[in-house]
Amino acid sequence: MALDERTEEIAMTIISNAGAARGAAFDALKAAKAGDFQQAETLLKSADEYSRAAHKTHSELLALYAKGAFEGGDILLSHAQDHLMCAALAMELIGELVDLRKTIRENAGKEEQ
Amino acid sequence: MKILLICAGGMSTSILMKKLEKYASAHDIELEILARGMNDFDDVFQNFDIILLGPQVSYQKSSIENSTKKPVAVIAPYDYAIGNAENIFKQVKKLYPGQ
Repeated sequence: MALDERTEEIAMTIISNAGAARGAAFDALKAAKAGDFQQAETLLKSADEYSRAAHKTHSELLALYAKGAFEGGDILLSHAQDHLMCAALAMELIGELVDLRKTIRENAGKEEQ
Repeated sequence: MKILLICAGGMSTSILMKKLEKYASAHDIELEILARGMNDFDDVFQNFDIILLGPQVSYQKSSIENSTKKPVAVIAPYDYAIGNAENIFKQVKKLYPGQ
């Protein structure tokens, strides 16, 4: 496979997996908003799996770069890394938001008792 | 058929669009296709039969369904990554059986 085809495949794999991670994280937030914390947790786990897959591909990219296989500067690859960071941030913040909603729900339950 | 592809910024769907066009012309499928970003499809969606979303905007599915009243589906991450046109067209057929 030519290098530009390979880098396109790497970029698209990162974008898909990072994208799926971000999508699952936002679905987790929706579930938590609806009070379904079990579903939120399942979705956050699924986000984590997609994110791991994206990071694995990203490591392959960095390894190629370290070997001097290409010089970088590819817009699509930068775009893929942007997706990766967006997903990472979304997952981190949404994890906190889900926890926060859970705590609020628990405290509200205590007050009612 | 007319397919609108939507992702976050319209970049990765542009790449997928090329792959789908190539597959369609090789298989005699009549296809009109356009790739747009999340904030940039309001003026065009009326001209399309169905809308396919990239995995990164999957969580917007119900809001896009509500605002466009069109059949909407999310492309599976693996199909999206490798540009698996065959699988994606199968998905399209399910969504829009008339074609």
